Amino acid sequence: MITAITLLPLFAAFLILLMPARRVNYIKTTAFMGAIGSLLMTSYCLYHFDASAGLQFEEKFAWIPLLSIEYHVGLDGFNALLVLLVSIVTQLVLMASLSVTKNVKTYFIMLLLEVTALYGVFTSLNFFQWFLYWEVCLIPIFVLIKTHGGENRHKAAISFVLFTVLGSVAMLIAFLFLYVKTGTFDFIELAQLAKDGQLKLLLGDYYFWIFLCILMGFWVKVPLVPLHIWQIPTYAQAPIPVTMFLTGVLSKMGIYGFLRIVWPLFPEAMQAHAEWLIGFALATLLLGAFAAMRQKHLRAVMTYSSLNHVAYCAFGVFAMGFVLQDTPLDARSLALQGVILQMFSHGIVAAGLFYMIGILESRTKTDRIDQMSGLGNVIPKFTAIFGILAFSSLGLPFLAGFSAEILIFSGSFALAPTQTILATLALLATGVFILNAIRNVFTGPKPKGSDMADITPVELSPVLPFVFMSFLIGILPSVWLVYSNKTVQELILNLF
Amino acid sequence: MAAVSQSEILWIALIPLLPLVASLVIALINPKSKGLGVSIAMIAMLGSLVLSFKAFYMTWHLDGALFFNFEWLRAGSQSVELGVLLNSLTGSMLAMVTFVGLLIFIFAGSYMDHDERKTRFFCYLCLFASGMLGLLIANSILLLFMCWEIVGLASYLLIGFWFHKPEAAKAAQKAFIATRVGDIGFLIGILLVFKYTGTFVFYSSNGLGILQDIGLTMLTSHTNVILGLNAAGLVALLFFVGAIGKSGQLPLHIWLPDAMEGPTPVSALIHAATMVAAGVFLVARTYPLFAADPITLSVVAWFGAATALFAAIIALAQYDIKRILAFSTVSQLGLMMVGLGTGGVATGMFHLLTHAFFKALLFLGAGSIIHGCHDEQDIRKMGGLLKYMPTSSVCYLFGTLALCAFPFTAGFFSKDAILLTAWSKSQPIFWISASASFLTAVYMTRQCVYVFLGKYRGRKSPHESSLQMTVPLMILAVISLVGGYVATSFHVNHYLDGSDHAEHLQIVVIISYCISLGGIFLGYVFYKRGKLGEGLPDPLELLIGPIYRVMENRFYVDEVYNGTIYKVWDGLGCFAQLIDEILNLKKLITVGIVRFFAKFFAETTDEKFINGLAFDGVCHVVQESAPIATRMQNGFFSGYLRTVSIGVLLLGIIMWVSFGS
Repeated sequence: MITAITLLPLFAAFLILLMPARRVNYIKTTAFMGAIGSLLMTSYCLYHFDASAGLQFEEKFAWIPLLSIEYHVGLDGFNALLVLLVSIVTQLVLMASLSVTKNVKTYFIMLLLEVTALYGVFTSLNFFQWFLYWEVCLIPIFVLIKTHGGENRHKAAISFVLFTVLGSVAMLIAFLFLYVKTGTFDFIELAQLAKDGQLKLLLGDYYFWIFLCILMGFWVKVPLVPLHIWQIPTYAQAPIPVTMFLTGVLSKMGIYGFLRIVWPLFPEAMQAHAEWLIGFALATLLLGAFAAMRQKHLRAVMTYSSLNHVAYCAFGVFAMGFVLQDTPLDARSLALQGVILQMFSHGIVAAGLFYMIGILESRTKTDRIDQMSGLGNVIPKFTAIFGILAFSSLGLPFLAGFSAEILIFSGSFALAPTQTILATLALLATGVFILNAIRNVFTGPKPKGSDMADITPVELSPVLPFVFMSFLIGILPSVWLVYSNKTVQELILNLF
Repeated sequence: MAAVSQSEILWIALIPLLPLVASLVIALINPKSKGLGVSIAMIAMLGSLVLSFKAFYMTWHLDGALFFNFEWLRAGSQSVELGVLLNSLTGSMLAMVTFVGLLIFIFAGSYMDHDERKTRFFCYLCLFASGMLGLLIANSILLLFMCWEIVGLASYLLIGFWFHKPEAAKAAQKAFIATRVGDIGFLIGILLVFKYTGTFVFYSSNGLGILQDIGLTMLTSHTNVILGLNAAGLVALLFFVGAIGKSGQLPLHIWLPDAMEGPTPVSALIHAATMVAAGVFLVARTYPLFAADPITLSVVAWFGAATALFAAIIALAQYDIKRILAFSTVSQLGLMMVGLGTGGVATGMFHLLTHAFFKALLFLGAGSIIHGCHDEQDIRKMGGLLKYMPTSSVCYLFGTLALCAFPFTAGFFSKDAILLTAWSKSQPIFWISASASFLTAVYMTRQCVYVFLGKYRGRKSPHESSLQMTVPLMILAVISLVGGYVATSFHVNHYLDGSDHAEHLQIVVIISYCISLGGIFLGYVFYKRGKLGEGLPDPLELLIGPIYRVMENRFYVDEVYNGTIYKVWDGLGCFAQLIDEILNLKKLITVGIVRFFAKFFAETTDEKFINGLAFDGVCHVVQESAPIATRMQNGFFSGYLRTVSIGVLLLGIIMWVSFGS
């Protein structure tokens, strides 16, 4: 089932490859068929997901027996919501791509290839195969920025690839080393070794360096300071649908890696180095929030906002390494559940926001905040939807951001109180930059001679589910948390 | 006081849900169908009102609290519960908020008639009511906080309702951010209480709720957490930070006067009955935490007293009719804090309840006056309105009397109680509060003299407002006059916190009479004599000169903040930006180097060497040499011969050179 979910978009891409390039409608329809097929299968999987069981929908068979490499995929608490996130965001990305006119064929092939790679990254349980998908993820993004990006697309594409490849290379070396020492690429087996204390013995003196290399790979992807610097030009220059993928889904790959790989494999290191790790996460989230206040471009504001929100996840992940002090709380579960929910909710909200920015850019031809004013009078429906998503991002209760952030904070406060208090400063800064953006763009006197069209039903319909989801996550977080509860408990039980 | 878990109590959740549903429905209907939107809002509010009075009635026969909790989410073994709660505090507030709220809705129905976004306005009003009512019934500090933020959002939307005015948009943002500063403190308090007790609920059936004995012991057992405070005291102070933001206390009061940019019914709703009261309500609700550490209560009282006096002084030198009322609200909220800090729940809450009625009356009255004077808010351009708008004026005057604590009006009873408890707890606080009350009487009289007496100084002649606007005023006026007496005879203190009304002290009663009557008298004499009008200096300005300027400019607090805190905050933004720029530069250099090498390999080695020299070079030479070769083979024998001879000659030279050496 999971293999089918993963490969269906690739199959659709293959079909598109066979089509003549001028058959634009066929190409788009095929792309949608592939994406919707995967969404349906994902929904089926999640519907039949057994919240009380661990790994399920597992597929495992020998692939390259010579190197004892296996094909191994499965769903559990860590990736269930992320797979759903990929499925949902893909629909919105495709909707946002309908207006593409240039190189339609290449464009959709690349997009579908990306979808397959994303499914693959989140479901693979064997390093070999996982790394393959991890690297494949880069290619479509790179190509799409190059072919469909903004003015400075070439520089942006290069810095994106350079940074992520830097991380990947470090990680590849680390895993090859692990393989040589342990003879396996399988995450579950490696985690078992780590749990028995074998891994640390096998690695000996290299333990810390291997840890660092693997950390590095995810560090770039999240990203955390000082390796976040590729993010701004990339988000700014990528075509909007690609930015939606980047912020909605790709930024979660790093966090997912921390949960799936770093914590299970290196629990001792994560605890020993919790102090400076959380320091970096804190620096990232503060930097993101404060730098966002000074941005002139809507996209840049939202990029820094994304930096900030994803850093909350890293914050929660690293806080788990601290020692619990006089509290009756199950603080680690709270933090970890919060992280998983935050990944999901940020994916929904950020993708939705960038979708809206895309619509706005198509009208105004600019995303400079100071060149827009009073649009609330001109495009009220758009303003309302944008407002809901923006307040969701701001962390307003009963919307997606809040329930996830309060979980992370209530957990991390019992573990790392000082850092959490500092992190709350970012909440204030978030309020400032989001309201500033809204004030600049939407309030003020009605611009003269403006005949901008409000959001059309066709543009509105794909984003409405996102608004709905945002409410659903905010009001009923338990609906989503049940998916991860078992896995989270298992992980914490294994580690502490 | 026993707390009983009872699932039947869940129906009170309908009280906030009705306006919420109304708000959603109004948001989705056609914005042009104003009548439909307004009726939906009214019906929902009426439904809430009926249910609230049912709840209010229940609490009369209730000793203690009824609550019901449910699990909101579960993380690992950690369950997070939310719940609803009904006790006398909830009951009385519900009744007040829905009652005053409905009157404001009715008033707004007429006031906002000309606005084309009227339906949207009612959508926000309903959202606001829903958040406020949810806050009242929450049995969980987390749920309270969530509703608290919804109230903040709704006030943001309402203050900025006329967002085509840049000032309104700015004021809305200022309100949201200033209260959010307080909310951060509040949030940390919530996290702290959760850390120590493992629960958010106030009352729980296992007795571990944070307001129950075991929960409190868990908190107080952590002594000396910081600055000698125990955990309960620290949590209480952090909650108070939230209350400071929401209730516009010093030093976060700056948003309140600016919030006047919103339509008048909004001002009434936000400043009188509900939003600012939320802070006082929070302190009252979590009173056991405050009581667990004696220092916290005196902090509350001192902040309250300072705010009360500070705001009253500023109100003395304002000209905007709504702004005066706004500062008056800040001042009165300070007094409520004094009541809570010195007397207890009943003292503070009683004033909150009476104040809600007469302040709503004053704001709506001001709205009616502004409406009648063609959207004029400057009291210098009014005057003699008693003749032009008798109903509104008389109602307004009744409200003024109540606010000045004229004997036997509603404000008298509640303010008297505060002064009484302050007297017995702390003399300095008593005298500060007493002077604030005195100034209240003075500035309210000043305002009335400006607005109602003398000659009309505006341009277009004023007119009385419609019945839909004046009837709510009359209802509120009646309550403002008799409400206090009725409440006292029903033993409001015993109802609110089980205590008995404190013994009257002769001296305090005399002082309170002197304050209100003396203030009114002095104000009347002083301002009646003076010449009032636009361009003319205020009588007080003639007396105290430059100090008046300082008061008029609100002690330059905004300017000081602009110069200090905002600068620091901006500086942090710049700092973050700077770090990013530096990192970016490093990145550019790195990427530049990589690109350089890539280019080097691509161009220099590939292009120039392999392509250029080796392959292209050879081709090029061949190509270039072609014309020469062609010319040589031109078919003339002499040419060939010449070439041969040159060749032989060259050969000869080469041979000679090579053999010779």
